[in-house]
Formats: sequence, structure tokens, C-alpha cells
Amino acid sequence: MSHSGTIVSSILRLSQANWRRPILRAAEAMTAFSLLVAGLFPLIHVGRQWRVYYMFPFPNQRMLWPNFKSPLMWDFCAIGIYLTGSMTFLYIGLLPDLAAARDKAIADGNWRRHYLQVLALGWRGTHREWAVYNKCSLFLAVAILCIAPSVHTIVSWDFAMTMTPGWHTTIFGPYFVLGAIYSGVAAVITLMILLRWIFKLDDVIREMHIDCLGKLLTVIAILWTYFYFTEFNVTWYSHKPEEWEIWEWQGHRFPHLLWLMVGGSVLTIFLLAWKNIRRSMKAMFAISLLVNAGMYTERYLIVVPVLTHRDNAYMWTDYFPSFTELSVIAASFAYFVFLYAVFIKLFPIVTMADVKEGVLISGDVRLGRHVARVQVKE
Amino acid sequence: MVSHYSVLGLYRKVDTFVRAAEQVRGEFGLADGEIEALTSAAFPDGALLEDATLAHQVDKKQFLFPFLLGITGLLLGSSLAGGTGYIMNLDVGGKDPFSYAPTGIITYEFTLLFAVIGSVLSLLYYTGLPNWKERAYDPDITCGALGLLIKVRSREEQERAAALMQRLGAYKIRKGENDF
Repeated sequence: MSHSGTIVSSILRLSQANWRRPILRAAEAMTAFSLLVAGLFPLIHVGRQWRVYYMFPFPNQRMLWPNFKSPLMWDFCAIGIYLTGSMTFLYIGLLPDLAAARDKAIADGNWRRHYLQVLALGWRGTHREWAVYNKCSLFLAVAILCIAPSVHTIVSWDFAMTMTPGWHTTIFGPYFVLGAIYSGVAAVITLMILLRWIFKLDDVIREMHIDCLGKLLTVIAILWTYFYFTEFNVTWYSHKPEEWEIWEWQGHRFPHLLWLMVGGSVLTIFLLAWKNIRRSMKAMFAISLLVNAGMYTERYLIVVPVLTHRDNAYMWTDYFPSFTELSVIAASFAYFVFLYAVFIKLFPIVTMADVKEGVLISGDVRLGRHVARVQVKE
Repeated sequence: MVSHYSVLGLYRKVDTFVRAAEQVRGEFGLADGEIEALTSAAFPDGALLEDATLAHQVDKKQFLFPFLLGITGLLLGSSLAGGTGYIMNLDVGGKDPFSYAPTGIITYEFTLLFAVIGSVLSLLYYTGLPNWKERAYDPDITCGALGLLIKVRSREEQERAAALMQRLGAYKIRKGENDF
């Protein structure tokens, strides 16, 4: 759902958007923990966990190598590499803040000093350290931006590389990439608002930040709705029976989900057009949840109607998640919340060094009767 | 055996810091590697110290690690995905054991993975981290103080530098040995 926090963070870093500063850490942590949760699913799906090492790229005891021609193997590599990249991105971004937290913990005699001293690596914030660190962050942002689309495309190929009607389409790659960014931005908004409410961070996460995220979400929602339109329009126009049957089945069996998926996206665009709504925490919280409910539904509608309504009519069936499946879903959400809560407890969730930098390099300039906020740019 | 002495002066204002850095540098003839600014946030290049050579050196060399490791990843990824087909050749109706799409995808992923690792290694190499030894530092820097750290050769120079820094507006001075 929320693999795209690091993409959002990378885009904002590279574009030097000044409003990015308090958002970065929450977005990066979201991705890292989403991926940790996602990493559990191959274990769950394999069923026989003791055989999971068959997926690792070395020969097993029967001298069988992993089949690199399978998109599942590409998926395993892509997610593993994205997890490594995202964790690295998160840790490198944390380095100056770990040093700040270390100093505070030592001054307060807090128990956290033990691991903060080790993790801060002896960072002092020298001129040289900052110069190297900034270049490294820039490079990592570019690398993440190159890895992320490939990961989401490869995940889409798990479906698109099959000959199954409803899945075998060229739009699935960009569809998944954009979908990830869409749900990611919405999830960042949800988390930022929750952090603001829980930790009383009104001065750090301001209305302006949520407003800017809202504008970004509007653009993506428009593109996303266009993708829906393209996907539907091409199938409707060609009216190939096996493709059209899937849409008919979706409309017949899951009309409420179809309305939530498409309607949620269209409604989001209309709602976000209003500045008052973009600056209202409650409204933005509700919209971000609506977007992710729509995105979750979209994934459900990709998988379930196609598998329950395959080519042969004698195979048609109906589906409702079992208690086991529902408990796995609930556990995955709980695991994410647990990891995120532990992270917030142990590490700084706001990018302090970036926020300080933003304060340092900006100031007010009077222009007639107006006072304008200006920023030093190199 | 003591090979160098250090002085760390803490300042509250940027202008005072810049003036002090220029004067201390001129007085003791400090080279680029003998003067440092310690801050809790990144300042634009050249804002605190006239240390153009540092940024230039780092710029040129820092991407060597990700580049070299990226090439390693490229070779590893292509031999892993491409080579597997040859080593464990399965009869698939006369098709070529080498498959372009999987090899391309795995190669791309491994190249980026190793480039990311290379970039972290370059950070560690050029910053000298991790370094958990006791070094010249003050926790006030976290709270926004600007630290001017210099390296001198004798105790007499250390005393003179400390007095000069204090005269130039430092509100706190720390002196050390072999901890630059």
C-alpha cells in the first residue's frame, strides 16, 4: 500500500521543495515498515516456511537454482533491494538527528544514549561531514527514484506477464507506479495528521504542509482517474468478450466496490480543489483514508473478479475472505502500527536537521506593504 | 605522544563566527584541513568557511565508490541471472537458455543495489565515520551553537588561539589534545 514514501521523499528532496522538511522522516519510515510487513508475505504465502530459502539466489540441496524467468523471482529481488535501499535512505537521513538525540539523551541521563551513541557513529556535524552527507543523500534520492518505479512495475508484472484477461495489459506497469505514489501520498497525509494530533506538533506540521501535500495529491488523483478512464475505455471500445466479461462481472458482483474505487478518486479531485478543505485537518484525514480505501479496493478488484471468473464457466465461483485471511490482513496492519510506534518511541520522527536548515536559509523581506518569505538557494 | 592540539570555540551568531574564523585562520596560517565548522544543520557551501577546496575534492571523488560498486553489481546481476540459464540448463523446446528480459531486470536491480551500498561506503570513508573515540565536540552544537574547531601544533599556540577566540566573541572554549 504505502511503498512510495521514499519516492515522495526523494522527489521532494530533489526538487528542493522547502515544505518537505518535516514530512521526510514520516514518509521514509512508512515505506521501510510497509516493506518489512510486505516481506512477511512470501513466508505466509509459501505455507512451508522451512522451504522459503528456495527463493534465495543460490542452489538448494537438490541443485535447483531459482528460476529467474519467473516474475515472482524478479519480485523477490526487487522488493529485497528496495527494502535495503529504503532502510539505507532512512538511516542516512537519520544520522544528524541521531547525533542530536544522543546529545540530549546523554545530558538527561536517558537510557536511549546507549544505542544512540552507537548509531550516531560519532557524528559531529563538521563542514566536511555535511558536504559529504548532502552529496550522499542526493545520490541516494536519485537511486531510490530509479529503484522505486522498477519495483512497482515488477509487482505489476506478477499479473501482467500472465495471459489472463483483465491482467495482461501494457498499462499495468505505470498503473502500479502511479497507484503506489497516490496511496503513498495519502498515507503520508494520514500519518502526518495523526502525528500532529498525538504529539501536538502544530508548530512543526502546519496547515501549509498539509495544503501542499493536498495539491500534490490532487495532481496524482487527476492522473489516476485518467488511468481508470483509459483502462475502461479501451476495453469498452474493443469489447473483446473475455476482457469485457471481467468488467461486467465487477459491475454485477461488486458494484459498491467499483463505486468506492472510481467515485472515491473523482470525489477526491473535487474536494481537494477547495483551499479550505485542503487546510482542514479533519477533512484531509478523511480524504486520505478515502483514497487508501479506494486503493485497497482497487487491488481487491484486480485479484478477486479475475480469479473467480476465469475463462471456463465451470470454474466460476464466488469469494469471501475467510477468518484466517482476515486475521492475516488485520495482523499486517497491526504489525505496521507496532513497528511505526516503536520507531517513534526510539527515534526522532521529525527531520530536525532539515527543519533547522529551512529556518537558517530563509528570512523575511519587506516589499512595500507586504512581507515576503525568501530562501537562500545555491 | 601529543601530535596536535585543538581549540573549539562556540559562537551564537553567524556573523561573529565568520569574522572569528577569518581572523583565526589568518593569525595561525591554517590550511583547509586544520579548521572546521561544527553545526547542527547544513549551511550553504562557503557560508561559514572559505573552504572551497573541500567541497570540490569531495564532489569529484565521492561518486567513485557508487560507480565502481555499481559496475560490480552489473557484472554480478548479469552473471547470476544470465549464467544460471547456462549452468542449470533446462530443456525448454530448443529455446536459447539465455533470456534477455530477466537478465536485464536482475542486472538493473543489482546495479542499483550495489551503487546504493557504494554510496554509503563513500559517506563512511570520506567522513571518517564511524569514530566513537572522544573528539573535540560540545553538546551545545545540537542546540544551535556554531563551533569553530582548529588544529595547532603547540600548547603555546593553543593558549593564544583560545584567547583570540574568546576575544572574538566565543562564549565557551574547549581545549584538547589529539582530538581534532
